[in-house]
Amino acid sequence: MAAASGAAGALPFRLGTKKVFLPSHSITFLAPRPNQSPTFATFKVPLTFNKFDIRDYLLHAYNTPVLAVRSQVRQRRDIMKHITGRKFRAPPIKTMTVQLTKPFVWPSMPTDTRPWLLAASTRATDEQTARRRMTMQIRKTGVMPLRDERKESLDRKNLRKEAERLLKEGGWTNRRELDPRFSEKGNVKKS
Amino acid sequence: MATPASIRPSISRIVNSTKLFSGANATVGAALPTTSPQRCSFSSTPEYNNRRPRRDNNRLRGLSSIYRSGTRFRMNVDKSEIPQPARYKPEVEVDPNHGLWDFFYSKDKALLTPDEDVEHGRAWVVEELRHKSWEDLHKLWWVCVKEQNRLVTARKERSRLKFTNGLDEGAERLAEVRKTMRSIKHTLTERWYLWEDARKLAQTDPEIDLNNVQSPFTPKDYLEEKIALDDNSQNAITEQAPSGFMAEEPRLARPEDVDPSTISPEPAKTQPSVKP
Repeated sequence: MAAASGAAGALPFRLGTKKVFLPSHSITFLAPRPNQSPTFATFKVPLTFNKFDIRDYLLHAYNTPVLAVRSQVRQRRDIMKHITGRKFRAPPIKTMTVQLTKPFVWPSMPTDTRPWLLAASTRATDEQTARRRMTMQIRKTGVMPLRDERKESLDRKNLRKEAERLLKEGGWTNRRELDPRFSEKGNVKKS
Repeated sequence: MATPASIRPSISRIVNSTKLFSGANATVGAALPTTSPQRCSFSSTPEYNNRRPRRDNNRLRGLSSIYRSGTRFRMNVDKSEIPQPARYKPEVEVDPNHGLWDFFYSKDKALLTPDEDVEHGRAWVVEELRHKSWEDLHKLWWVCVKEQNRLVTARKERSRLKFTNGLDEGAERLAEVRKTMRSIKHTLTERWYLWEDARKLAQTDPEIDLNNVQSPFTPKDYLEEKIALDDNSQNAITEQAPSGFMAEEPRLARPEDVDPSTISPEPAKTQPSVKP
């Protein structure tokens, strides 16, 4: 870690003296806000971090000197446990915005999103979301919606269409020849 | 009070119309002497008659700082009529050696596809790490930390872009990194206990002097040792009681090392009391 500090040159701040050999926390680099300047970068840090920590961390591990640090702690909504139904407060999220000496533009993300948005995975996610929403709605109101009140599923829609067609046109077949023993006109042998 | 309020809009309309009239006169007067015809209008704001009159000349109608109404002030110009500002965004050149690139896999490809995410090896196991020095382990730890940061950044980016595929692949890769980190800690803990045991053993060893930093180990001559033992074998046994954790038993206590003829009856009696 100490090797990197030499490359940064003369620093306008005094470095910390506490040696951390095996830090296990993870730092997330967050995408900038729409109008954020490229000389600013935001990171999600553990709650135990302070401004000096991120400054020294970025300098030693990423060779990125920092001019100023702004820290934000975002509180989160209460979370209800699914099993017990009890509410508990989720730990807040700490983010730190640092002012860089050299600008850094967030790299462009892939334009072709097909590998990440497969039809099957998207459908599964959507279904899961819908199911969770319905569960929450039932729990909130205490009323189970009847089948008529629910949104008609695609299968049911197709079935209805097919039934209407059948009533209008007729001509149902399962593409199999009926055994003559079951037909009304056929000569059924009596055993 | 009702009548003035109802009259007010009509007053404004009258005022507006008079303004329009005077404005029209001014434009006609200005246009006549000049010979060059002006194609576009002087101002981008539309004519007065196109403007929507206010109900009651109240500029701040519907605005509230208490009820968070937002900035929904009504302009006399339609939103579509507002001239667009020039799109000027300076092109920022990013240093190719910027340190923050380490949060991504490559500069042109910020996010790995799920197929690329799967292409990774296994974690280091403890047996492999036992043969590594502290410097190597420390370097490997920092490699893991940076990889972890890269993976959580990619995870956040996937959720930001609402990507549904590739979540499990990223999680598996992160799990492998965490496994390596756990193995490093396992190795170091093991090493620390071994060192501690060895130190305690050395404290009981007469051949090792821990205060002597230069050469703590001074092997004694076998013969010399034997003579010394013969001289005061009784004292040696009583002195070499196992004092520390995992301390080796005194060599004299082993039956195969001792000549049976030399054993005096006294040590045999003291032996059980020595053992813990």
